[in-house]
Amino acid sequence: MNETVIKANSLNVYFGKTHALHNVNFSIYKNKITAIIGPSGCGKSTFLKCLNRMNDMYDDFTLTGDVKYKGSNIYSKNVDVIDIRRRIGMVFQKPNPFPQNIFENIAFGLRIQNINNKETLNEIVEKSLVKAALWKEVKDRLYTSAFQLSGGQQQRLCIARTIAVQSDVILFDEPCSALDPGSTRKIEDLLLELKKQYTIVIVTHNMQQAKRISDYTGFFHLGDVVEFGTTAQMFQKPKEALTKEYVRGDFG
Amino acid sequence: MLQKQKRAKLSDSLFRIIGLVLTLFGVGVFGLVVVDAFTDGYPRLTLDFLTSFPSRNAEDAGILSAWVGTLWLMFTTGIIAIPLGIMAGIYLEEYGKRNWLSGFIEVNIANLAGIPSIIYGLLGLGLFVRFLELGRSVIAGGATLALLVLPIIILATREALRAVPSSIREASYAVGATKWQTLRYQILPAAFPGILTGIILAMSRAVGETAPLIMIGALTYVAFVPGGLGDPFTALPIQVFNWVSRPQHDFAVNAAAGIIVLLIMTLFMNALAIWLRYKFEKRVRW
Repeated sequence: MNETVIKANSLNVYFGKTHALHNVNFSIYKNKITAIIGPSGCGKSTFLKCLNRMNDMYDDFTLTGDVKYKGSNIYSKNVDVIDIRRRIGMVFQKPNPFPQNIFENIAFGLRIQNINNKETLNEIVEKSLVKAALWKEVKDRLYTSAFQLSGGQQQRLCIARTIAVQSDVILFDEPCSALDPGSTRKIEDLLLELKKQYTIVIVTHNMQQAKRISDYTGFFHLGDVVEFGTTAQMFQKPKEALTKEYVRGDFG
Repeated sequence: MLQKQKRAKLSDSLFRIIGLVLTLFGVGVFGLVVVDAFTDGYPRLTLDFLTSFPSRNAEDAGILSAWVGTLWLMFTTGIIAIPLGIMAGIYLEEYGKRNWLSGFIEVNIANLAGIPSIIYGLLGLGLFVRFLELGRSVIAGGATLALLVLPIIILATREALRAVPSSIREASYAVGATKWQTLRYQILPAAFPGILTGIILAMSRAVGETAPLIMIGALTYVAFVPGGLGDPFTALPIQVFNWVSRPQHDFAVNAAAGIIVLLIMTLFMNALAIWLRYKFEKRVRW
């Protein structure tokens, strides 16, 4: 039986008067890769950002329903948002390293927790880079600017940054859409490796990618979850006609 | 069809020529002013000129009290306007809620930047000199100029903060940084070159202001160097203004020499702004 890490119950999201997500119920299972697919503007990124409260940044964002992480609602009043974001990390569409060197990019998340001990930092930075499959490529240039890395390397650096703060869930918002096929391949291999220790949710436009790496797939359309199931079932015998059309590539 | 393309090409090159002529005109007028000031004032530009107090005799008169006064003024203006401006800018951009009040404040700040400087002089006279009883002192002058350049610094700060890509903000929040940590360690360092440029431009605006200082009653003949914030003062543009209004030709030469010093100060500040911007921007690239 799969252990549920995150569960969204009757989630409704509004931006001002726009109703972006309609009564979404969704489960994320431990040590699995869950793919979220759907055409542009269907609410998949909005949903992803609900899972670690990144939508809080927007002034006109309101939400009803709840999102439970390990049983407790992350939207209840006494919850520490900072702690939630640390445990549920996020990697974005466009690689967004800080304008600092490689070492500091990873150390930042630790320094803001007042971890400044040089040895501890060295150790965590190395471990995180090893896990993100980037260590070998950068170990001799840890103190050069992160902008000198290629796009794929920058994206792996962003993954390492998330790992360093001890996340156990990592949310990926179309992490490969700005990368070439070679770098995409490396990220995908990395995700398959990471799922042994982490729970992964990935929003993707690329149906082949969802098929290749995910265990579960959810299909969003115009703010609704049309269908959710194992990836094999979703791509081979979808229950809904709309899902069938989408995975076949008829629209989107 | 071909006709149309030809005409488009023609207006393209025509526009380029007009643009070039107008640009050269602006640069030319500036060059003329500089050349004129230099030919008139160069003979008086000696070390004595910089180290002497004003005098009744044009040959003995110098700008010691004026340039020291200007430095004092810049110092006071800076310590008042820079922290106030940056903090107001940060508040408005990062913390202020978007509502009618913030809209109202925004419009007003933009308007303040365009108010004639003599109005600020009037305000300074009423507020600092009379009401707060600071007299015609360095602090009254500095505070008046600080009000004058405050909108420039606020606007520059906001602009610089807005120019930092939101992806940096997202990245910082995503690793568990608070709003303040994000601001302090990511946004402000990235916005720093822009803020700095705004500050220096504001200061070079302040350095040349004459009207508000005359308005608050800055002295035109000062034969001592101010020793503190409470002392009376004069400043370079006031000294120049004073000399220009004298009938004797020799004082006009002094004025020209004073203008050269003022020009050099301003150009130096602008060069500093450009250099700092270049230096820091090399570090921050998106």
